[in-house]
Amino acid sequence: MITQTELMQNKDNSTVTTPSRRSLATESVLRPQVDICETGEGIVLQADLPGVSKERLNLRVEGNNLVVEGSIGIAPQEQMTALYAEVRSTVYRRSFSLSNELEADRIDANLKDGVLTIRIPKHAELRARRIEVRS
Amino acid sequence: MSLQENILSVSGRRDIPAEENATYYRQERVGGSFRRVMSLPENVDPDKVEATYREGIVQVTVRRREAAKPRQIEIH
Repeated sequence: MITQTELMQNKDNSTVTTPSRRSLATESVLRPQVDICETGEGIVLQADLPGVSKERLNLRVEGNNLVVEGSIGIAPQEQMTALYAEVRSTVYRRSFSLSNELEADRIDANLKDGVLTIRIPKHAELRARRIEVRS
Repeated sequence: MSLQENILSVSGRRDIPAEENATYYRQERVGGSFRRVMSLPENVDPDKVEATYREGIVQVTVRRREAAKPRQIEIH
């Protein structure tokens, strides 16, 4: 049985101002592409975070929000100027609000080849259960 | 990935297997084959190419031919 309410919503953080200088310095943040689906067990979220290693991934739950943040670790090249740059930021960030049906304490996360896979189970009593019928 | 003269070609495939028995609320990621061809600056040396792959990023380093490196000009 699938609930009508959307279990996860987006909260967008597209620009970030550095704390010390408010209006002038802004660092734009990359918004990673995600797939979100619901199974009988819970929610599966997959995000593309190319260039982010485990050490540079910052995954956290703040209240009812799941925050996915990561920085790209490309070794800085000495004396190089960009001829062509499609990606002009080194930080990914995106946050999602978690429904109360989910057990945020039991999030499972896996990062491989720049793809982050997060599984969040629903509370035990809310998971799809098979009902045995007595004959 | 191949480099011919100064043309760099990259192609590959990334599959996104669907989760079983799932309802998707959001599908932003794109899967399948990809290909990109780009022309590098002149004077690159196809014999001096290195490529590494980490965390989903391919980094290609190409060196210039020796004769084409910028030289400082001495002023007497």
